[in-house]
This record gives sequence, structure tokens and C-alpha cells, in this order.
Amino acid sequence: MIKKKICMVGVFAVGKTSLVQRFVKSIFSEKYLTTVGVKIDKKTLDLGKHCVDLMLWDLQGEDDFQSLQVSYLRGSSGYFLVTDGTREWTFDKALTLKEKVEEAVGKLPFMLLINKVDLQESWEVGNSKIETLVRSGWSVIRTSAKTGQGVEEAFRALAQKILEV
Amino acid sequence: MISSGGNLVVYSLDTIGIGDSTEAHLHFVEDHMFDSDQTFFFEHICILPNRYVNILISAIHDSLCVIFLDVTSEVRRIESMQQAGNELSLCKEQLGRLELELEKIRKDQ
Repeated sequence: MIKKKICMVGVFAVGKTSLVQRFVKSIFSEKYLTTVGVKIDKKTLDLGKHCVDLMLWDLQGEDDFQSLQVSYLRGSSGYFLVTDGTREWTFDKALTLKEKVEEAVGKLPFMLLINKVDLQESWEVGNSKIETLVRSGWSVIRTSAKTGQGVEEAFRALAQKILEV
Repeated sequence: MISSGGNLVVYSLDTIGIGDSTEAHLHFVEDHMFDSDQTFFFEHICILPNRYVNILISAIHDSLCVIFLDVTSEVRRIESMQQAGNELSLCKEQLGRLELELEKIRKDQ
């Protein structure tokens, strides 16, 4: 069995834990619960030609008191940059976090997830910003841990991307 | 430790689930263990529901030493403070958005 480690990176309260919970257990809770340190989950994904064991490292989000602990990234095969579409600054911050990740572990396959797409009426991230990133080669997926939109697709796409490296 | 007569309770090692399969604890650090010439320290890792550990992996001669330290109570303390801090930050963000909206309405009037 192929085993791959994927990290969830992003600032606090963007929905990293909820995305993992949705993907692994198909559950969602409205209640916000902060993550301390890192939570590790596992899910086996059948990609047709291969079955892959994904080790999902759900990292504590950056906040006013704690910054990204890069030691957790060691051994990663890829990562998700998670942002909250209703809070534009989390999108901008994701670009900084990507630089931090690359400084620590080099260039790895990654995807940008713009979460909370179910809250379109409160959306702050403009399409032009997203399109600019897509044009420069970024893979961007709009997700909702609440409805499940884009979640399975994102994990499958990143796993596929990792296997192609 | 058990077979050598080690007193697990005295060293608080009984809290890491001796009866559990080693694989259950170590499957996620496999990649690191191959790099046996280095020492790794991971803080506040949640590997099982409601159980947090600090993990030290270190090479000793030709083998590896893996130490789990149960830090669940420490994490619980941090968690409550961090939860409050982050909720406050979210409230401030929300307040900022409302103020902007209010200002916009005032200007329109």
C-alpha cells in the first residue's frame, strides 16, 4: 500500500479540521473548536490504478499567539492551503504560508482550498484574485465542509497530483 | 518495559495505552523513522481521540528510541485559552465588518 502524508495548512477557523472530518467521517459540526498541535487521521483512497493510504496531518491554524510549526511538515508528500472565502485576509495569508512551507520542505504538490462556499452571500474573495492564481498554475478548488461540495474532489485531485510526481 | 519488570505506573507510561497495537501509534511516523540518524520532536500530537502526546524519536546505536509523553492535560489547558482567544478574534473581525457596513450606509444617506 502506498502511504502519503498530507498537511492541512491555514490560519485559524478556516475549516481545516472540518474538511478532514467531512472527508474521513462524512460529518460536520457548526461549532468552532480550535485545534492544538496536530490531529492525525487516515483514509484509504482508491484511485483506480492505485490504492493510497492518506495520512492527514491537520495542523493548528496560525493565530495571534502561534505561528505555523514547520517541523510538522517534515515527510509530507503534499499539502492543502486552506482559506475562508468569507474572510479575505485568510486568502492573502495563505500566500505567505505557502512561502513558509516551501522554505521548510521545498516545493511540494499543493492545492488552494477556498472553503465555506456555502456562504456565498458573505463571500469576500474576488474572482479576479482567484483567476490570477489559476493563470499562474495554482490548483484552486472551492469547498464546503458543511455541504461536502468539492471536498472529495480536492483530496482525490491532490492524491493524484502527488502520485504523478 | 513490562517484560523487563518496569513499573509503568511510576513513570506514567501506562497512560499511553500499552495494550494498543504499536502500529496504531507509529504508523504515521514511519517516514521519519527511516531517517534514523536524526532526532525528531513532535509536540501536541493527537493520535487517538482525546489523547495528546509529545513524541521524541531518536537514534540510539543501531536502533530507534521512541518516547511518548502523555500531555493531554497540558493540551486541555492550552485549548481552552486558545479557543477563547480565537473566538474573540472572530468577534473582532465580525465587528470590523459591521462597522464598515454601517459607515457605508451612513455615506449613502
